Amino acid sequence: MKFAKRVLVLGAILSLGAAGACSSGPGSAGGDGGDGAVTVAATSNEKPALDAAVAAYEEAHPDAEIQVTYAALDQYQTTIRTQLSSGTAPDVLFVWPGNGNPVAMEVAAGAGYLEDLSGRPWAEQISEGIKPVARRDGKTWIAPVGFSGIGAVYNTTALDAAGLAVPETWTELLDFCAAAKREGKVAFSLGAQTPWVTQLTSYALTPTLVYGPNPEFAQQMANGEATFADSAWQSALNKYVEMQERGCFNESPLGTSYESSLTQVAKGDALGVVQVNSAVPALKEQAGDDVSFDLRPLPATDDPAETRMAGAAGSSYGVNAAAEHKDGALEFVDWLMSAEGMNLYAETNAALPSIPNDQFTVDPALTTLQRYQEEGKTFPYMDQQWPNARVQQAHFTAVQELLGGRTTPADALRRMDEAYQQGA
Amino acid sequence: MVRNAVTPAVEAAAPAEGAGPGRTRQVRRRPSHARRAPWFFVVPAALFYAFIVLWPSLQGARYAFTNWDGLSRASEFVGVDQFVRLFDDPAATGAIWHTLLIAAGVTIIQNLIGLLLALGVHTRIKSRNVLRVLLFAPAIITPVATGYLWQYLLAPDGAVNGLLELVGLGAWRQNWLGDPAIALWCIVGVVVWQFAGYSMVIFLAGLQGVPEAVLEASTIDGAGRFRRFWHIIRPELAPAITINLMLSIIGGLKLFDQVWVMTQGGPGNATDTMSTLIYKNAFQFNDFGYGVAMALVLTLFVAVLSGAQYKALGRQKGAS
Repeated sequence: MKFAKRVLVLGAILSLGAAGACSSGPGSAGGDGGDGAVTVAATSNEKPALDAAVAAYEEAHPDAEIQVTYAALDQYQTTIRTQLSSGTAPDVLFVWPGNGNPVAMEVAAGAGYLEDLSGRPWAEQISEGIKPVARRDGKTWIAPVGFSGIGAVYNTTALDAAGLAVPETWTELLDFCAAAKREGKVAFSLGAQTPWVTQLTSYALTPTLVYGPNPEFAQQMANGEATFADSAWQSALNKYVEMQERGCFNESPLGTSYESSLTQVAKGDALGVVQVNSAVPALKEQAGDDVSFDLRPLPATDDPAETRMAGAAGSSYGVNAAAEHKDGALEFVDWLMSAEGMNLYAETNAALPSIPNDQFTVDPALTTLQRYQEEGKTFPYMDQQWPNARVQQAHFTAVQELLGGRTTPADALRRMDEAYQQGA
Repeated sequence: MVRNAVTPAVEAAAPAEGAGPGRTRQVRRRPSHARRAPWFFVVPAALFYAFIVLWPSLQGARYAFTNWDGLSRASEFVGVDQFVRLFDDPAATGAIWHTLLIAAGVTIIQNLIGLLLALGVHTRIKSRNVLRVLLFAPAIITPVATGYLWQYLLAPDGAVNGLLELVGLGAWRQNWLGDPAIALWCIVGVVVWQFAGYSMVIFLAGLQGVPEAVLEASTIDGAGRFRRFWHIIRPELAPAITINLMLSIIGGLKLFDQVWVMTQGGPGNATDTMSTLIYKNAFQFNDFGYGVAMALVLTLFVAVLSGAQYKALGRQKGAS
C-alpha cells in the first residue's frame, strides 16, 4: 500500500503540473509582444494594407516595433473575444464599426475593452457620415482608417464590347438586364451561396429607397418608432425579387459562391456584380491589366438625383483599454489616421481614406464613390446600426429564402423585425 | 484454396490456427488476475483526463445557465431559460431535425456502402490492395478540403452537372447546394463519399475473424451467398458493426466542417445542424449561454443515442 500511495501522489503531481502548464501564462497568440513591441491583431483581409502601413511606420519610426497577428475572419472573431475577456488581447485590434458584429465597436466599447480615443488629434475630423459608427456615448472609440462602399462593379471592357452603358435609373436597369440577356450575358452575377453576399443588393438599394428619403430611419428604429416591415425596405426587397424575376442575375444564384460570381465578371460572362469596393482589386487580379472596372451606384428609382450609395467606415482599429504598450499603440493609431497612413492603407486596399485629403490618388474605379462620399450622399452599412448580429443573419436567411421562392418580402421583414426587437 | 483469398496482412492479423483451445483457457484465467491489478494505475490518466477534459467542460457547462454574451465581464444566472428557449426556437428545432436526418442518413448509407465495399475487396481479385487504398484515400483528406472540393464540383456550372450533360442526362442537372430540398442530402452524400472507405476498413478487419473452415463447410452444405453472410459472417461482424455504427452516428450528430464550408447552414436554414447553430449563437450572435445550452443538449443526444445503440447491439450479439 505504501507503493500505491507513492504512485498516487506522483500521478497527481504529474497531472496537476501538466494541466497547469496547459493553462498558465498569457496566450501566445498575439497577447504578448515582448521587448516593447506594440502588438496588433487584424483579419487576414487586411494583411496587404496593414503590412504596407506597418513597414512604412517602422521606417519612419526606427525605434518602434509593431508585431501583427492575422487570422481568418471567423477565427479572428472567436480568438479576439476570448483574448479580450481573458486579458490577453493585443494592444491594437481590428474592430468593426458600429454594431451588429461580434467584435463591433458598440460591443467591445460597451464591455469596456476599448480605450477612449476622443482626445486624439484626428477624432474631430471624422466625417459626419462615419461618426455614428465610430462613437458611443459621445466618445470616439475606433479609428476608421478606410472608407468603403457598396455598388455595382461593372466590367467596363465587357460593357463596351456589348455596346451597353451603365444604367442610371431603375427602368434603365431593367432594360440593361434584358439587353444583357439578349447578348448572352448575365447582367449581375450573384453568389448568394455565400451568406454575406446576399445582403449587398439590399444595401445597394436601401440608401436610395429608405435612408435617402428618411435619413433618421436608423434612429427611428432604435427608438422603436419604425420597423422594417412598415418601411420602404419592403420596396427594396420587392425590387430585389423583381431583379431576379426579370433575369438580372445568373441562373442558380443560391448554388453560386462569391468566388464564382467574381470569376464570371472577370471573364466577362457577367457584366457586373453588386459588391463592396474590395472586389475591385480581386477582379483586377483575375482579369488582368487589359480589363477595366468601375464601381457605380445601383439605381433604385427613375430620378438619378435621388440615388444614394452605402458607404461607410471600413477598416477600423481600436486600442485595447488594458494595452501593455498603450503609448506606442496610440502613436501607431495616430499615424494610421494621418493623411500618409490613411492614403497608403486605402491605396493598397482599393478603398478611400476616411478623412478626404488632396494627397490621395484615387483608383479610377472608385471615383464615383469618392464623389458620393464628398457630397455626403452615402449612408453607413445598414447592419452597423442594428442592435445585434441576429438581424444581419435573419437578413441573410430571408434573402436566400426569397431567392429560393420560399418566403415573401413581408415575411422576411417580419423576421428581421423580430431579430431587431431582441435588442443588444 | 479458400485461405489464399486472405491477404498476407490478414493472415498476420488473424488468430493462429490451433491456438484456439489454449487461448480460450488463457482468456478464462484472465478475469481473476485482472481483478487483482492495482487500481491506482489508472489514477495519473484519470487525473489528467479530469483536468484537461472534465474540469474545463464542467466550467463551460455552467454558462448554459447564464445569459453571458461571450465578452462582457458580467452575466446573470437565468436558470433553465436557455433550454426552454431552445425548444421554442424554430431555428433550433429545425437544426435538431436536420442533425437527426444527417446522422441517420450517414449511419445507414455509409455503413451499407462500407460493408459492400469490404465484401467486394475481401476477395481474390488482383487489384484488391490498390482498391483498398483508393477507397480509403478520401478518409485521410481533411473534411474542410473535402467540403471546398465538393462545393466546387456541385456548383451550377461545376463538374457534376457537366458530367450529367456529357452523358446525355442534362435533364438531371440540379442546383445541388442551392436547392433547399436537396442540399442536406448532398452533404450526406459528401460525408458518405469521404468516410465509406473508413467503415470499409473496419469491416475488413472484422471479416478477417470469420473462420474460413466454417465458410467452407457451409458452402459444401449448400448454403448460398446470402445465407452464408447472414448466418456466419454477420454474427462475426457484430463488433465491427457496433464500432462502425457508433462512429458514424457520433460523426453525423456533431457534423460541422463540411456543412460550414459547403453551405454555412443555407440556403435559408435548410442545412443548419446543431453544431453550426451552436457556433453561430456562441461566436456570431454574442449569445454564448444559449450556444452552450445547445452544446449540452447535443452532448446529451450523442450520449443517449450512442448508449442505446451500444446496448441494442450488445443484446443482439449476445442473442446471436
